[in-house]
Amino acid sequence: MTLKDKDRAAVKERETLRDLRRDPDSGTLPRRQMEPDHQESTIDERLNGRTGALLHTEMMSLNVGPQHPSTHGVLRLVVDMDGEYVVKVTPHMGYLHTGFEKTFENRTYQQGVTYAPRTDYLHSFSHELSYVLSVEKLLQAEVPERATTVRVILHELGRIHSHLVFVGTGLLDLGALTPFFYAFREKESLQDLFEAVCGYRMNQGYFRVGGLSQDIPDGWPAMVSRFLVQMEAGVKEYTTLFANNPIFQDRARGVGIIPPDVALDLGLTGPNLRASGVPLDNRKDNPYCGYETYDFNVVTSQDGDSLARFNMRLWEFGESIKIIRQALERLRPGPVKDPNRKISLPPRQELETSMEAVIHHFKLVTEGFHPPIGEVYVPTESARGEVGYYIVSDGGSMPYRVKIRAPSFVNLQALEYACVGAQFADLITILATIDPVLGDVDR
Amino acid sequence: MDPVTGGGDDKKTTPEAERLTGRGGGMQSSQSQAQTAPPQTVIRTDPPTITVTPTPAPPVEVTASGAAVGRTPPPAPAPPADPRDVTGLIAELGLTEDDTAEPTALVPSERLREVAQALKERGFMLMDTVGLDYLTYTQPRPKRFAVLHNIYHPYDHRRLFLRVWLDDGETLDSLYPVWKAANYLEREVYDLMGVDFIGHPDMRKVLTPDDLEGHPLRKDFPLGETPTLFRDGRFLDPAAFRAGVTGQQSGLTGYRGELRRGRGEDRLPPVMPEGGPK
Repeated sequence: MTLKDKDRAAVKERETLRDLRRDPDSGTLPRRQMEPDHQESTIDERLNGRTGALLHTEMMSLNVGPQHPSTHGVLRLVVDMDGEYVVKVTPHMGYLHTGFEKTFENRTYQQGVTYAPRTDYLHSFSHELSYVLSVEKLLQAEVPERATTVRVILHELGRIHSHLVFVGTGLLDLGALTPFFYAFREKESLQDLFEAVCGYRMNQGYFRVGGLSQDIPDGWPAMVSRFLVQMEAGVKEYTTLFANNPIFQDRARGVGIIPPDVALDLGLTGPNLRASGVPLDNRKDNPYCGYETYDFNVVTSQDGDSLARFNMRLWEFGESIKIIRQALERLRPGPVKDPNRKISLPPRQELETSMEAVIHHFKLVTEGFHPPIGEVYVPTESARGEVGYYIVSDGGSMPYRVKIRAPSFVNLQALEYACVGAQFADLITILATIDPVLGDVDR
Repeated sequence: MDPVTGGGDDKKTTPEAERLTGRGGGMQSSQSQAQTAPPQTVIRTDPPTITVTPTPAPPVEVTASGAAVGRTPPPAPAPPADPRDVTGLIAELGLTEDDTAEPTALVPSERLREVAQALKERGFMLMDTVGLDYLTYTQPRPKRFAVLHNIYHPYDHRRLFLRVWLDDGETLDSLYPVWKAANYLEREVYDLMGVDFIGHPDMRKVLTPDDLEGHPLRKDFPLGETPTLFRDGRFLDPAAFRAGVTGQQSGLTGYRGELRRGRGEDRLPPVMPEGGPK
């Protein structure tokens, strides 16, 4: 092979990549394949005999992160680039690995509620809820209706919270500074709601096995109603200001297309999967907390590109608002804990009159309850996809094993697929719309 | 030794009746009641094309029964009538069912990839891979390790766990050739549990640092807590100071499972005696 042939081959390959970017499914070209080995490219791969060209070009490995604002946390990407086009992406994660699963094994079930929300710190209530639902299934605890309704409200508020951060920081990555302030205006109001209900603005740990840690404060439902009105106006603003913005649409449409079969093969869940046209939503398909009794829609799109993934979140705002409105109407006075004294702590005033209450209190605090031997899994739908805690009990008061099904970890695999053939600026778009939370990835 | 009572009486009181075999009981959860996917209507809107799956007719009653997971009284459906029942599927694949609470099939390790391929052809996706170490489990298990693949059908919503038993040092076929989702999931199991997968293109650590030796989620991996030395020469062992007890210890009462649920007046708050507190 002469040098000219090599040049021609190199030019051809680059043109192929460009064509693929414009039309990923054109019949003449092979469909993009994810490279199975995620090592950085070798020097041979990078040079690939292209040194003889008149214009000296070579593949370049570019390091992104771990300390980079658009990586949404501590994610390091090694990007192999051919000029402006991405050839291979190699994520390196684990910078935030704190060993929650091992910690769970050495804490009582009730103490575990502290750790669950710290995995996904943007939609904390999803992990919290998923954890307590699994333990309750193990224990067969009876959750009062009021507690379930409050859980649904907070679960959906958490989804709005997560999507607000998505809208704000996602567009920030694309260079639009304004949406950040708009979205965080609503996010601050939302965190005030969280603070009012349990004292924490993040990482709440408000749910308990068998109900809630305490009842919601007086006037909180009215605060939520006021927030929903504000939020609806906010969604309208985002739609007119950003979603219909031609500059944003140019950067997002057709970028990082994930076809439905690939999405299922990669194990995507949540809005990322629904953007590819698969209407899988655990609130509808594996209902928990009585979601089957709420009237809401599962929004899907057939496009599978970054714009569809972005719009998916905007549409889900409306559905969450609908669910919260219905839940607020259902809110009736009542207990918020399982009345079973073997699961819930007795009320403080009972400790002064009842010896049994003192004994129960002592046993629950020193030792905790013992669920029966068994293994459970309850899937729930977080803002990122399916969250589930696979809990193994050996009859002790600490879980024998807890495995967190973290949607961000699995969704991140789509990055390696979707970015191939895209420009570097598109990689940032794709990473933003896949929306991983690194606490959830690394646990 | 029991950290709270100081007693060493660690008799196992785990009768077989307490085991969680929830398939026929109240543990069906709400899955069996979910509606099948309703037909879709396409609503043309501004870009992108949005398909809205309409809600099925709202159910009539809103009671607490749907609220608590596992509390729903089973509407006594015959197993084949439930579209999410996987017993038929397990039999079709020639596997045996495991008696855990979740629908689990026992798969011999040499048949794993073939079974996975058959499931993939039926439209299933890989949700999760769980590595389990039963080294200190209270009940005997066939082998020390188990790897569970969480398999799910995205359209008819059947969920199935494939359980493979493994001893230390045994390897397992990778499911990467079947589902690309196995890539990170198997790397995580390898990293944290030390199970090697054959046929995985990139078997590297994924979460722990490169210089960490060992697999942290194994039961014999030390926690790394440091005993605290007090000025009077007393050591505080963190493990002994911890509140919870494992299944190896009897705890304060020795009760397990259903026995802990409380019966009769235990479940109701006590009444204030006549004339106020003494």
